[in-house]
Amino acid sequence: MSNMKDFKSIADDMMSGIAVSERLKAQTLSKCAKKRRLVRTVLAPAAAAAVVLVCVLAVSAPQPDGEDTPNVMMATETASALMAGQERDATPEQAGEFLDGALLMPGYAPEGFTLHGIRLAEDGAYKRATITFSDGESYYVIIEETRQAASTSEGFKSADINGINGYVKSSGSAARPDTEAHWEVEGVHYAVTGSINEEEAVKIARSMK
Amino acid sequence: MYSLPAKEGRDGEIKRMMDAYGDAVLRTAYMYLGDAHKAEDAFQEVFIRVHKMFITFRGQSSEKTWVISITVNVCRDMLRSPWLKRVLLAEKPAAGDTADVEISAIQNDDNRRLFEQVMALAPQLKDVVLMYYYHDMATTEISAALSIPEGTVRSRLARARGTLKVRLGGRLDFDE
Repeated sequence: MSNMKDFKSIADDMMSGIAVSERLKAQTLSKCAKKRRLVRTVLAPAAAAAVVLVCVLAVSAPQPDGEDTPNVMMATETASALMAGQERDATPEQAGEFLDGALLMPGYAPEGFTLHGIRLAEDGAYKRATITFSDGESYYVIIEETRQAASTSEGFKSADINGINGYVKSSGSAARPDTEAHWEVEGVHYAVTGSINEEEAVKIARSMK
Repeated sequence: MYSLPAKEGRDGEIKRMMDAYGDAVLRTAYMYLGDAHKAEDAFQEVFIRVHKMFITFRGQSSEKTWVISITVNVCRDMLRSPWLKRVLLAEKPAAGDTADVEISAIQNDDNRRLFEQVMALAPQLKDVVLMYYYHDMATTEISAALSIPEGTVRSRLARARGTLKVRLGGRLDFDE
């Protein structure tokens, strides 16, 4: 008969072949270095763009809803071609070019959250941009991909995303919310998912125009 | 609070933490995800988050508790959303580029069944069981790590013990 107090040694015996290799450590350090480079190459221009945006808004007529700012991340550079199955870090401009103008950047982010990074992927049949925002402790992710969403809608409820029927599901606790919202526009699947509550997820989604 | 802005300093700290907690992270991920390749994906995501959040760690908990909490969150993320799961698992390792992982030969049928039943627990129950019995965390630490009341931790532990006892046909002791 087993004893629960021995669970650690039992589990370690069962998993004795599962150990961190030097290869895995090296791959992980390499990815950390990539993220660090991304912060330097993306956040600095993004901060500059934010300053420009603030200046532009300051001299513009007041908006009815200040949080629904226009999409300012238009494609201005040519993205390098990706081989099928590869992923790479990108700037917002490169992501816009990569998705052939379908990229939507949010005009709203919950307080404290800033752009953390953008990854691009291509798998022959579709392209995907993954945009991560973080407040330093938690994350949420915006996924934009040129294919239909999975068909399951179990557990989701409808949500209006700028006149489009989207769907949203929330779980977790108030201290640690977990939400995902999905909608499609002209064959492009958009999703907002992560450590945010339902209201914030829908607000982010609606700010993506 | 740590302050290691230099690349070498932060990389050195991440490497130290991978040496110190890497196996615990990888095995915890395996017990959530049930797949060695996915566990390696989770491992990388955990230490990328550790790398990003390193300067925000202020010692509210032990370093190990902090890393294990991140591990649990990463695994939950990977299990919850089919969309996010697809993103996180998009980078499949090339053939022959993965660790040679084999579960050890089964020495004891009771122990094997216990291990399998813990892996089969619902995520909420598995959280507390792994933190309490595998990582030797106190209920107060688990409460802080999961942002749930300590009473909830204790009640989930009790439910998990009851579930395991029933599923193992009574062949389980809890002597401390």
